[in-house]
Amino acid sequence: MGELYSELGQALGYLDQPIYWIAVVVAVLFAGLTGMVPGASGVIIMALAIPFIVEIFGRDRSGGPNDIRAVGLVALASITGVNNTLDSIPAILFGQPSAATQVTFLEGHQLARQGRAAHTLGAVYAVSALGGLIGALVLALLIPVIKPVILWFGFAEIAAVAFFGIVMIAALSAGAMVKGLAAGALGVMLGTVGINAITGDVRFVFQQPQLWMGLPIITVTFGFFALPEMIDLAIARRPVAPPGSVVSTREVFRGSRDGFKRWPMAIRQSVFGVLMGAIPGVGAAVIDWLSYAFGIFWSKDKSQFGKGSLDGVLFAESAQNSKEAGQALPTLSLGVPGGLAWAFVLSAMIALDLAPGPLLLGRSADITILFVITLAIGNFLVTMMGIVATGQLAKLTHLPYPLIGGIFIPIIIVTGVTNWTTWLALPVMAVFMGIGIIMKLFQWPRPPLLLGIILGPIIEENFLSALSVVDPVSIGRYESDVLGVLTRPLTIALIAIAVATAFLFARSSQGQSRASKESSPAGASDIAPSSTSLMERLIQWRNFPILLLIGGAMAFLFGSLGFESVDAWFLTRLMAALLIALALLQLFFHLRERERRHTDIMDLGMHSLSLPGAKTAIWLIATGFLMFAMLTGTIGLRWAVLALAGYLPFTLLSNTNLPLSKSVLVGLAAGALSGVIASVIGTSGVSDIFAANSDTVADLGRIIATSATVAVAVTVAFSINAQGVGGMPKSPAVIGVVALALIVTVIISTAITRDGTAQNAYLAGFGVLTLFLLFIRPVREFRPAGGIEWLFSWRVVTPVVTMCFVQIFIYGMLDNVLTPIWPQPALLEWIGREILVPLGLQSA
Amino acid sequence: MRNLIKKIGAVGALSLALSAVLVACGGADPTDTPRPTNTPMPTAMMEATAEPTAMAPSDGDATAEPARATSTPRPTSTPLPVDPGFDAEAYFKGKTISLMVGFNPGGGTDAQARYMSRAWPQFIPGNPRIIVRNLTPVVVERNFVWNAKPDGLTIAIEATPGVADMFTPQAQFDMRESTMIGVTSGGEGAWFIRGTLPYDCIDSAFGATEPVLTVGWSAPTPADLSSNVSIGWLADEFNVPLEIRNVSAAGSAEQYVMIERGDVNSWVSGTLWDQFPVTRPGWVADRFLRPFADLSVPGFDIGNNGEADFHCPNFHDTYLDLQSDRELWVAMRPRATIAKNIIGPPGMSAEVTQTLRDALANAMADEEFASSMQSFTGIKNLFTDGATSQQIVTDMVNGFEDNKDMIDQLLEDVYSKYVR
Repeated sequence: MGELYSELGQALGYLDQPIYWIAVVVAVLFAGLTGMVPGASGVIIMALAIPFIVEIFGRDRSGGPNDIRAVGLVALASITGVNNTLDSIPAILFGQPSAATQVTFLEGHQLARQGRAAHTLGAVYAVSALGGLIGALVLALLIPVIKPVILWFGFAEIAAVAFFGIVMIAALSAGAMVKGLAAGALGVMLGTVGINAITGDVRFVFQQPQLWMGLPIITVTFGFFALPEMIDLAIARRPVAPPGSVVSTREVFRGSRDGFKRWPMAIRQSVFGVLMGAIPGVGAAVIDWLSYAFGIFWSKDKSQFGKGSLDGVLFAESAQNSKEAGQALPTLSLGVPGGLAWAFVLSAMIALDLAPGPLLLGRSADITILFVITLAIGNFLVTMMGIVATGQLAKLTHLPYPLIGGIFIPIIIVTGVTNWTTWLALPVMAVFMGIGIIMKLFQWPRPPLLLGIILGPIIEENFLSALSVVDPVSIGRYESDVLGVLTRPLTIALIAIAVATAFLFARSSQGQSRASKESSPAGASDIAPSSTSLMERLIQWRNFPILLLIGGAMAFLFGSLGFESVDAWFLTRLMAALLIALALLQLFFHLRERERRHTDIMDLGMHSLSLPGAKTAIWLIATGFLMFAMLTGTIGLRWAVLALAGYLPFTLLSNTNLPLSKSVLVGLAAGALSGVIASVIGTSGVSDIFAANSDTVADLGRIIATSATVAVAVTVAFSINAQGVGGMPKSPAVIGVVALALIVTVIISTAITRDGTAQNAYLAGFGVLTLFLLFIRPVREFRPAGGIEWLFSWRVVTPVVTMCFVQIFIYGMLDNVLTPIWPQPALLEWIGREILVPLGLQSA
Repeated sequence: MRNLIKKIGAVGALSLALSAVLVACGGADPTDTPRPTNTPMPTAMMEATAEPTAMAPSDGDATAEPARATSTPRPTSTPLPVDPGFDAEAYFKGKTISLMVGFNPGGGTDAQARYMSRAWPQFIPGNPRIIVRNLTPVVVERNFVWNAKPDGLTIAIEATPGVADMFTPQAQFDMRESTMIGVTSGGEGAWFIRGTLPYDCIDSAFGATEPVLTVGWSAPTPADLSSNVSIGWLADEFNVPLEIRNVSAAGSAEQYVMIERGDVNSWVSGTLWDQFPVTRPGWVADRFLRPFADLSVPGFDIGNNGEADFHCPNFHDTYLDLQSDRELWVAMRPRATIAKNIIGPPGMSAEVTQTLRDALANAMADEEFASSMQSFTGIKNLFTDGATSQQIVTDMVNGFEDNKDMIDQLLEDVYSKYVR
């Protein structure tokens, strides 16, 4: 006990050092900013930060008073520890989920549509903070004893946990069980794309090596979830939030209070998150869905989910922060990274000569304690940051979506490509966007499909691996590897829990559907004539997805005939058969039903189609995407996304009157301050101070500069103008000034240097300059001369602004950090190679 | 009329501004694109190249602790004949070099690339900026570099020599023609067993039947041949009881857990011997793991890692009597010979190539650079200069090609005989 106090004292001793606070606050700021910027992630920051941390904090390794390696390490860990808190912002406000915020998007974005964005985010911060704290506490309690438990989880047990996840599909299929199960089976079938990790068979990759490792979850999520949503919002041409909804910091605080009130739920979900996080191989996306389903399991009223449930958001968010502590468990106790981000922590530990494992519980226990304390502090800091920022950022939900979409749709496309570093992301996103739109239109729940794609490979790989390492079991003369896997005590327990859960879900779903039938007024849904014949009922649009499913399943079935090994084809064929059976069952339901019932599924519907002007908007958007495809194939992705950024607001905002609300001075001041800090850090002169680290500092500076620039610029250009500052006229002319300033800044900075650091420093400085200009009366009162007012109209000005923002994003975040592989004019190349050369019109 | 002129002027100004934005914002696309491959779909397991997991693979791509000593550099060869008028400083000044990595951030190769992007520029005349760019899978990255402009501004750091990779249908590259800038590590290969097994070095298991040695194998052979092909051959030739367990775990972190959990009782690894005292202190000292066979390249001495001596003799030097067996052994183990290597596209000018080769040689000769890199990546340095490594890779590819049928057959035999 005395030793423990001594280690605790040593850990607390670090808190006396200014370097600790500087390191942790900077790390939390980085993590917070990148969490808010779509497409950026803590992993990128960690990759860039490691050399810097090792250099700065690893100079003294003597173990003496100047040895601050532990500080560097926990600062690095705090990046991943808090990064998950603010990534809810793009998911809820703009409909852009990441791998870890799919549930937050599903439920939270609908709440934003109801005008509850600020409230929801406030509640999210509260439970995230609780999750982080509980996670830290559980980490402290479990770390001395967790090692044997983690070692119990072999391949068989991990497969069983994933099987438990698959069962959760039942929870996500409430209201449309057959459709949900079919979507789940489709997901598992699609999850077999890529190399079979055991047999080496290459499955359904269409000669594209990029698909060897399977479908990329982030790219798929963007196509499947985000783009259909954004298109729906763009068609509506309305703001995300309804007019009159409350957006203020006070509302964020109210939401936080609401979140804190749910502390029992937060504790339950957080402990679940820690336990799931502690199992290596169960990633953030799986935990997201599992915690959601786990929360639903405990809820009395299951009918609220999928339609914008605050509880639903909080189920997932409580677990997302605490799972970091869970992932820290195998990292610190076993030296096995609990997730990708923790692999970086492990790398840093090794580079800093700090061994993971028993030593962290013995003579280096102070580091473990410091980990725990820092996770708690980091979560508190980021929560405060979120509360301050959200009151202002949430006001963007009052702007017409084409403006937001003009920026986010191109960014999401670019991010989808860069996340996978291949042009193939475009067709993959397009295919999944198509599937997503069809499922939204015909009310098939999308979450089960995504869950299937994520969990299918985990089950297959781990089950087949288990067959290879587990001793076979003999029953008489019969010896079986499968029995060897299925008869392990923990596997039996996990499977039993999964089956019991499935049973309970099925019962609860039946009860719910009965209650909904009884309560729904007769004739409330759209009804098909009761006299329709069987043939007429067969030839209905609602059967279209069924035919597609059967066709897809048949294609996979035939494709799998080429695989010799049963390990390679079994799952594909099983799922294809199941899919066909479920599709036929759904068809049978459709044929038997004389009336078409409206079902409440756990997914966002297609809200925009009944609005006036929807048809025109659909055509405009379709034309935009066609143009985008053509431009990508001819002049390249970079220019195509810029064109799309300008096209969407130009065509969809033709007759828009922007709603106006209160000032966002606080947001501006915060943004401007970030801009100043960013420009100072990003300036090469400052980088040179750290001569040995200049490149790393420059890289980090570039990221923060770009993040801050985007934050500042978005706030300046949209929020201010929508609201007016200090009596400033509510005129598009201000945006004109902003846009021109952007253009000039970009031209000057590019002319001076092609170096991204300098450019971003200028761009960040631009935020401050604009703020200054806005307080000069002649600028505020500027009116365009007669005859050219149209030049400063929304329709002209906003596309320039959206294009600039997209370009800043591309240049700052991507060109210089993880440079994308820009698709070149593949269409022209293809036309030349496949058509002109064979016709002899071009030489080979 | 005046209004019309104003409108035209405004339109002109807007067009100009928009053009300026497009040009100034974007400039030229920064990189060429890897051409989409139109080669036939691979069918055999040999043809697949797996991307490592977050942690480094167990044989050759480890992220871990520093070795205690830097090995002696391999012999150097003569520099290329260059134009004395070439001004390397002017050529590289203000330029950006893209250092491609065929794996996602987080592995050993990525770690080394990130270290080099920070520390190497000071050894290159003109101090160009180096940016790390990740492109997966590795065959796509290799194709990308192969097709890049040979100006020295697109180079790559590879985890293996890519000898087996280049025989996959997707590969467009030929390692014999790629420009080798230098090799920073390689040579080591070790087989460890659990301390509870009743064997000492490998000769004590010749002809034994029990207990069976088990090792893990991730089926889609990671870049270049897995070590398990060579140990399968070894087991067959020397009657060593062996079972290869087919699992989806290529990373060293997973291998650590597998051996701790008891899924396997032995482990073949490339660069971990020196890392054990930091990654798993006490494992070697307490005999939880023991050396079993030294599978390093001929003449390589694994040595002492601070906890124990690797007392087992070099397998190639000690047990292989036939020249044909020795050649086959070397052909089967390309990635043991060359690990981390820096390459460029074919056709780079002698001047640019020599500048980069010199820069790498100078960096590796610099004690601070070399020891910091070793400390940062945990991979033991073993530098081979560009010209020498160019010859080694050429010989290696030729040797592999000569033995390819035999190796393919061997792979099939090993799979059917030893893989569970």
